[in-house]
Amino acid sequence: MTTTQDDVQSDWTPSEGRAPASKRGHRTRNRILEAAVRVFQERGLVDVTMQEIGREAGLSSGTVYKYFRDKADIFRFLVTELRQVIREETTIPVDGDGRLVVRPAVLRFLELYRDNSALYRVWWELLDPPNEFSDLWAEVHEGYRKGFVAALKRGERAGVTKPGLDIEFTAELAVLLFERPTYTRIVLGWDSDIEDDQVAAVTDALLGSGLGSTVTG
Amino acid sequence: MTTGALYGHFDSKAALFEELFQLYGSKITRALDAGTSLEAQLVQWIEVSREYRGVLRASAGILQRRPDHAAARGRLREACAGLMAWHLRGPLTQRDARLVARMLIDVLDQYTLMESMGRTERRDAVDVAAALHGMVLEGVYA
Repeated sequence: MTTTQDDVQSDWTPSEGRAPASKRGHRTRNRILEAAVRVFQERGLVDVTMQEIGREAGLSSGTVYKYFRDKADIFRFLVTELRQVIREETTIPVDGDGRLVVRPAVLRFLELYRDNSALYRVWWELLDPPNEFSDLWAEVHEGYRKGFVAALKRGERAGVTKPGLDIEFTAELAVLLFERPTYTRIVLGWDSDIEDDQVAAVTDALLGSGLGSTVTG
Repeated sequence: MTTGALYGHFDSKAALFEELFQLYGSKITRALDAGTSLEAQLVQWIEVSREYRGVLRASAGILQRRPDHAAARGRLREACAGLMAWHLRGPLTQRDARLVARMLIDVLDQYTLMESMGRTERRDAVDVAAALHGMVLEGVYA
């Protein structure tokens, strides 16, 4: 969520699919990918077959197999693209005083999640037991965490971060504050009674100066 | 216990899971209800969830595939949020207090899930609760 995603090294190899040589081949591959996203949106990945993806695309499963080894290969291709978007678009700016500018980042994160809710749905579905996709998820998570650590340390140097704050663990909590409520909101469809702006305001408070004396205990 | 004996008590693996999830729900709501402060509730949440970590991992695995379970999990979250929101009262509106409570529950849900998966270091529940409570009260900036 801050600028250090590129710092995290990975030996994870993304799929390129079976690269089509012709324009028609590209169109067919895109048709499969678009169909897969629609199917994933409705049913996730675990219970879905290549045949169903082919049917949704109006193609035979034989044609689908010409482009992708299996459904995980399709997801691998899609999540590779998503990871690039995450790299480019999930940054939280820091203001002139050295504080995180949270509100617009929350709203952008919610937008990104909505645009890619089918992929996030599958990603969460595949978190456990550990596998290549959960490893990638953990890597993205750690990239976010390191970004928050860097931002809070910058604030510390500027004298604005709360003295004595456990920066490493606070950064972990900050990532969780973005990830899970967004998942429950967008993928599970909970909290439809709440506006995005309210979520952004609360996150802004928790990653700002807190809710203060309004809290008892 | 033999598989046959197990079937004497539960019709299926799903029935056994549902029973365990209900036990978790009862235990966590009782613990939150008894919590005398938000921080104490956060500690209770972590400790009870650790005790039922297998149930919660199983829950996470079927959350998107079983609408009935997702609904049950959502209801439990609401019940817990209501109990936590009581300690967030004051100048916060009831609606905002409930939103903050839901977000805290989500954070702890993911924290305990990641911990049970070995994705994050296990910490003392009191320390985790104190860090989160500190964030609620004072944020991260002076």
